[in-house]
Amino acid sequence: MISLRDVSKIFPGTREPAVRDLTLDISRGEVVVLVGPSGCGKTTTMKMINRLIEPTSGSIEVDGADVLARDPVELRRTIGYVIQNIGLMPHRTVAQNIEMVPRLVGWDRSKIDARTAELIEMLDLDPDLLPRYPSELSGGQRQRVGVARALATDPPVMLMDEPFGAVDPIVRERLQDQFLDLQERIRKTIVFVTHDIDEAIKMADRIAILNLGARVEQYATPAEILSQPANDFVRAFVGIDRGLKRLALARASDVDELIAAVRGDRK
Amino acid sequence: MKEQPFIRWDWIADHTDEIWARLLEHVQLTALAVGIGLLISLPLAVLAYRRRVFYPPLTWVTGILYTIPSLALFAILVPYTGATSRTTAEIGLVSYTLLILIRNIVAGLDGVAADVKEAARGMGYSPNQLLLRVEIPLALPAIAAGIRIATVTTIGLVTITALLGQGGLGYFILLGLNRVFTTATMLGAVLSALLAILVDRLLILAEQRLTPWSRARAA
Repeated sequence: MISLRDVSKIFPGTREPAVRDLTLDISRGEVVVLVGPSGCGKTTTMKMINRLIEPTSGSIEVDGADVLARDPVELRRTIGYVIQNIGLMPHRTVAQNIEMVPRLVGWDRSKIDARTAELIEMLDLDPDLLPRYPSELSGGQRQRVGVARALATDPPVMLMDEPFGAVDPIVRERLQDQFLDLQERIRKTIVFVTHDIDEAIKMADRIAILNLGARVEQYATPAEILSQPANDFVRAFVGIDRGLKRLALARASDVDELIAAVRGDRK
Repeated sequence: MKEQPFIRWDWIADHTDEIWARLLEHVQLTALAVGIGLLISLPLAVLAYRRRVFYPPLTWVTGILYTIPSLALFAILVPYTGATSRTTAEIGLVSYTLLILIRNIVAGLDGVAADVKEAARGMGYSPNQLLLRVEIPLALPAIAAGIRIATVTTIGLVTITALLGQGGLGYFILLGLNRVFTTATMLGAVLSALLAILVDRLLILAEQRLTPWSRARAA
């Protein structure tokens, strides 16, 4: 669904590339989490997919189409985007925020209203919030409005940059669970950036652990990364409590794999 | 010379029509100056915001204009645009608004939160859509503050253009000076001060109407 080939990014005035010769394939309907220490190039990598950052070299395809050949403004309207501080428009109501992309692409009023109602339902938001301004919402509500806005035109691909980073741990946990439930139903292809390995383990179908220059140290399922870390960097990044983390992996689809992984680990 | 009272209310009562006409003229001169100032400042400020290299020379030039004493500026302009023309008055008045407006507009645009701009870009707003639908609306409080300062300053400066046969309420001040007639001087001064206060209040109300989100806060 998304494929990066030998992608590099060198920012002007720097010698070391932020991203060096990165090749990564992301399958349809998968949540891929890019995780790594700060400055490793994970956010840069994500932003090259919707061309908020232009790659210096290499090629990027989304759904078989060359991203670099498209008009960047048009391209971004087809890719959902959620950032850490959500970036809701403070001068627009909740409804107007959710309607931003549908209005950009010229949907008619009745279609927009129907979709907004559907999204409100999907994200378990109170319809009474629609005429409110973002400053009147709680952190968790803002975050859900941000996700609703990114989903408005039902884009097949979503980019999420530390989307749960700005809320407190209890709310974060709830939002993560809710988002996983939602993803079960909508099956988007999602690139998710975080620096938090626990969040990566919880949210990901596959995790790419990145080192400086967006070097892929391991690209595998959470269970594999916990049971068979590819090298010392991964082992150190995952942490010494990886046995415990493995137990916390509660997603039903992983259970078989987990059991196999645990057995493999013991022999 | 006959002794006069400090304020001759009967003179004021006899001249209400003229007072209204001068007041209206004062408002017109001010509105025209701030309006033209805004038309010039907005594109220049947007240019300076997007291409930073233009900002220092812009503040430099408008800063020089701002520091020229108004009397001297009018004296310089008179040979070119006439001694009693509205054009002479307006050129001077407009040039004093530029620095204030440009600085406030740029500061307002700079103050728009980076995550808001990034989110809008990420959703596919073109640079112009971003400017018109996000950056300028969110910069409105700072822009409005600039308009208020420019307007109040201009209301004061308009009185000086009385020397050019313009001047709105400045006419009375000049009249009072020439004839040592405190009633007229006081009338011109007090009314122009009241006008400044009133217009400032009205602009605050207008800004509040235009930015309903800034009053909405979590309960």
